[in-house]
Amino acid sequence: MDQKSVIIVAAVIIAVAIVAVGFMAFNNNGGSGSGEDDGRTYTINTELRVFGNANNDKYLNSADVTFIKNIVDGKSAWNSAENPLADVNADGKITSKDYEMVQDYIDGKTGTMYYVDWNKQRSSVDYPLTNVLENGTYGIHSMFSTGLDWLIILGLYDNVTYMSNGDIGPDDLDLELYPNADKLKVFKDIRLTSDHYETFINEKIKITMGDKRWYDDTFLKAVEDNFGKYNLNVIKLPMNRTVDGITWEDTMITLGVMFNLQNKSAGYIKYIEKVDAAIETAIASADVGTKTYIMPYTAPGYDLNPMYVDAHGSGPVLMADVYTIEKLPLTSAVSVVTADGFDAVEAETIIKYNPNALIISSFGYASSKSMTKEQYVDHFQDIADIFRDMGYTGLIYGIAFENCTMAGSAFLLTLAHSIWDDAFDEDEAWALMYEYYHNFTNYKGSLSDLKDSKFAVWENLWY
Amino acid sequence: MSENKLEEDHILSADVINSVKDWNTDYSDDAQFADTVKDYKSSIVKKFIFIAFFLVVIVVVTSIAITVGAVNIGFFEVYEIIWQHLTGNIVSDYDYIVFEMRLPRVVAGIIAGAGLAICGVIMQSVLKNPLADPYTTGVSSGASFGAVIAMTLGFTAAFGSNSLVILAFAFSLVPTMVIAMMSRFSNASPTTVIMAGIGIMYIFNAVTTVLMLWADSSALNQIFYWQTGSLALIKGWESIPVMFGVVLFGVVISMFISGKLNVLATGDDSAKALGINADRMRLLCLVLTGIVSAAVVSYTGLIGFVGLVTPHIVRMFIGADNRYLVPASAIFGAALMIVADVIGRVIIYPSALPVGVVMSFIGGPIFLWMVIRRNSSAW
Amino acid sequence: MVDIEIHDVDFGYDESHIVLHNINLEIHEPGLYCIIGPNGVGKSTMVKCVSKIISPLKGQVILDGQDVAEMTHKDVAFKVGFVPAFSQDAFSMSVINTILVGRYNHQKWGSRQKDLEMVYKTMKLMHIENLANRSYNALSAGQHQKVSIARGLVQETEVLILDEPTANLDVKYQVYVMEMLRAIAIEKNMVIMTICHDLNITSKYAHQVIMLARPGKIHAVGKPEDVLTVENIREVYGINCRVYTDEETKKPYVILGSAIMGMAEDY
Repeated sequence: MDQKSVIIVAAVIIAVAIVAVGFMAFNNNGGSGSGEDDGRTYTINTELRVFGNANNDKYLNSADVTFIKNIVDGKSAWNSAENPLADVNADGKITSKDYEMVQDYIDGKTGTMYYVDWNKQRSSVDYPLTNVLENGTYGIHSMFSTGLDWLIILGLYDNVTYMSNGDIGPDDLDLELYPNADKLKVFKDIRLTSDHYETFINEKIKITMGDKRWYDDTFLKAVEDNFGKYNLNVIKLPMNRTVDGITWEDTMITLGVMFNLQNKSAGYIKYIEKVDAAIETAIASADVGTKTYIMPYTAPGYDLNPMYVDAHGSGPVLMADVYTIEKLPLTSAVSVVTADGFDAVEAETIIKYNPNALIISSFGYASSKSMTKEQYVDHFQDIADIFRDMGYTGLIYGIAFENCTMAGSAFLLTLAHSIWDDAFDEDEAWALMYEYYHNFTNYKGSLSDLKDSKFAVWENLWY
Repeated sequence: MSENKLEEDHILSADVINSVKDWNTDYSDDAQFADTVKDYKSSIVKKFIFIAFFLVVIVVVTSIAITVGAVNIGFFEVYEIIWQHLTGNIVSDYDYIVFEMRLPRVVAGIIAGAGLAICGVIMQSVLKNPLADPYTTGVSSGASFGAVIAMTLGFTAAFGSNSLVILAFAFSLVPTMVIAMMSRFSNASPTTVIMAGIGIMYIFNAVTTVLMLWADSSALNQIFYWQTGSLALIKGWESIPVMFGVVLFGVVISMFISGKLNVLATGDDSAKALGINADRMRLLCLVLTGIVSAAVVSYTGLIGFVGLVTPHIVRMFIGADNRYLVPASAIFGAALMIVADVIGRVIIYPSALPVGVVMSFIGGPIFLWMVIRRNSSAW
Repeated sequence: MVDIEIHDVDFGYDESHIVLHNINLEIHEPGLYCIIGPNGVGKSTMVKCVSKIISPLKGQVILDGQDVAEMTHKDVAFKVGFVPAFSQDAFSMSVINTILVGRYNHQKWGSRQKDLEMVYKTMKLMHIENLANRSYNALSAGQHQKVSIARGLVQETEVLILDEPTANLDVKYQVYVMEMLRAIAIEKNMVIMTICHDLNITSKYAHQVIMLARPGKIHAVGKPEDVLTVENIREVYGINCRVYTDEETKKPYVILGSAIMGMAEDY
């Protein structure tokens, strides 16, 4: 082959590449296509993420109106870094428009509500979201079994029509906890792309919620571009996994406001505050000291070894369970930074870190009807055996659900009692746990039933 | 004069002399010759009829594909909406769905199907290998590499999906360039090209695999989806211009060189003796197919089988003459792609199968059937 | 009529392994030139140099006063036609289309009638007109060869080179083809160079014989009666023989004897 031909070939390829790349770049709209018009990001310091929550508390009420009015009237100054949500219409200034919008929200007037989404950008939903359903004409799609819990709390459970098939599909859900779940329709393919957009319209779904990772750009683009014609509201808040520090607690509180159902979410807020307070009291009263933990992660079908370890990641959809568990004086013995928040680690390595407690978190078992308590105990025993055989002598617990879910807070005190039994009162712990299951789920058992159920933290002391 | 020379030669027999003299005469009035011409012309007409038929098929298939979708829009209403949009009179609620979602997707399918099909024809012809497809020279592993880089190193998060297209395209050209460079040191024979392609594929795949091992599960899912190939990755009309331009360029060029491809098929030596530099021709064809398939694949992901199976199917109807095979394959490939996409959207409603999967479901059995059916001499 | 001159040509596929040494040849007359010699001596290589399929390491091949090295493949293709040894097309077309490919350099808009005429006549000449619509790869080896030869003939070049055209044909067609090539060379004033294995067929039909010997040199060039001698055959082929002159044709007739071991070995 002569050199001339090769040079010609190379030149042709480079020329084509440059032209094509230039053209593509020229066509590039910039941005990921799912963001809002202003590419601006917001840093906020409150659980209630809606614009209008001027005072950064957990409620959208007249206090917020007053707060804004005071600024407008000159009685106080506006610190835009500390109270960014006071600028409801994001025009850069605090005016009467801002508190009028808040008042409209409080009055339940139809309109648009803005919030800081999982990209830290300003997104919007129709307000109040309950209207969007038009009295049952339109339905809700919520990803995964854990996505049904918030619907129960807000009393919207009857409006869910579609689920995404996760590890536990609707045909495997415990029908007592999730009545009529077997009638839910399912997207087998978890990732939603533009292929699915028309289906959402055809199936009359107007609200969807889930994990950030499963909404493809092409789907979000279609939603955004066609929004005036069909208002499919994508709630860009994480419903169980955390995203950049946004926990499901934050989401739950925000959802209550979005749906104008603060009366329903208020009870939940109070409950969480109760749990937090109980923890604080216990820590203050006794000298508990910090203990170390590692949280191996399992699910039906997962390998027993190596295991995923819920580590301290830095990526977008992660660090879920550690948020809940670290409400207690626990620190992770594995300070691994991974993008996913997950690391696959050999059991040996886990032993090497020698934490005070191994808290095995899982998902699916609790809501699955095919997994009985005995089976679940066996499964956790298998895992525990691995560690015991390797000589681990610390505490081992098994939790039958992702503890980053709604039920996560509920069991914290019972777990804490096991670790620090004098500081945390046993009866109080069980009472709180029971309160959660009784008030916020469809659980019908009694307190003693609960203590004996698969929801109770399974403590393994076998040496 | 020459008649005498022949007669004078005692070595030659009368039969041979007569045969040769006969060969040297004018045959234009010969009846049998006229028959042969007629046959030949009718065979060409048949080929054109097939091409016309494929054109009709593609028109029919396209017109149906646009009306298929989860949302129930009436057949004629769809065309009304398109007409309204084109005349600036946008009234329907479904305008976005029809004009911005379905139509670009179908158009992309046509372009992608045509592009991949002619790449397949050219590769099989030039490499004399019935198993060659657009990805034989490593375009797929290069594009994969670029796409995976984009998805795992945060380019798509930061700059959007165009960065994926750009990276996939850029890297998909690298294997072609490497093969071109390598041919300087050895040659550009079919074996060399195929083996170089395989070597490059392994290298790129290795690096890609490492990146995937370190990726988080969301990126992995995205990568997997892309590697299967789907028209859902097309983002409306903005994806169309580049793909269309490059594929059009490719189709036009390949029709120009289709005659040369026929010559190349007679063998490298014979081709050179007819005036065609086989090695150089092969190299240029590789570059052409590399660019065309790269342009398609960067947008749609790695849709397989169209490039492999279309030439074989079309050859059954049209024969191996590249001058007809190339355009017919382009049309058939486009139709095949559209059909596969429609099936994917409809068959497991409400879920959807990406077109790459459907294509494999269709392509695999067809391929097996062809293998069973044909006798070896018909390759 | 095309003048062919080969001056001091060496050829090798790489520097270390030279196949042809110091080849000098001049052809100024039309006719059938048969190239003979033991296997692997370089007969194919030599003819490919003339068609510019490969290029010599040293020396020049000159067509009509022009150095082949300075001509493009296309220029050479107009002058020199080539029929390769057994070839299988990867995806075969019909016989008629396969032969039509040979008209590649003649095809223009509206030339189809003339091209088809040439193809048809040539098919008749090779007695394959009934195979017109059969698939090329479905033919027997012998029919394959005839199509190949036809494809070469339709090129209408002044020089035609055939690389082992009769290897798979039965004796009847071996004789027919060689006789026909001789006649065509005379009739059309062409130089036809063909590689031949059969000494007696060569003797009868060749106008000139080019005898190559190991290690890749020209041993003798000339009329059959001058080249096909007992000594030449012994030296080149390593075989004893007796040569008689046939009364009718006045050509040498070779009766083979036994092999001489240790002579004209291939290394």
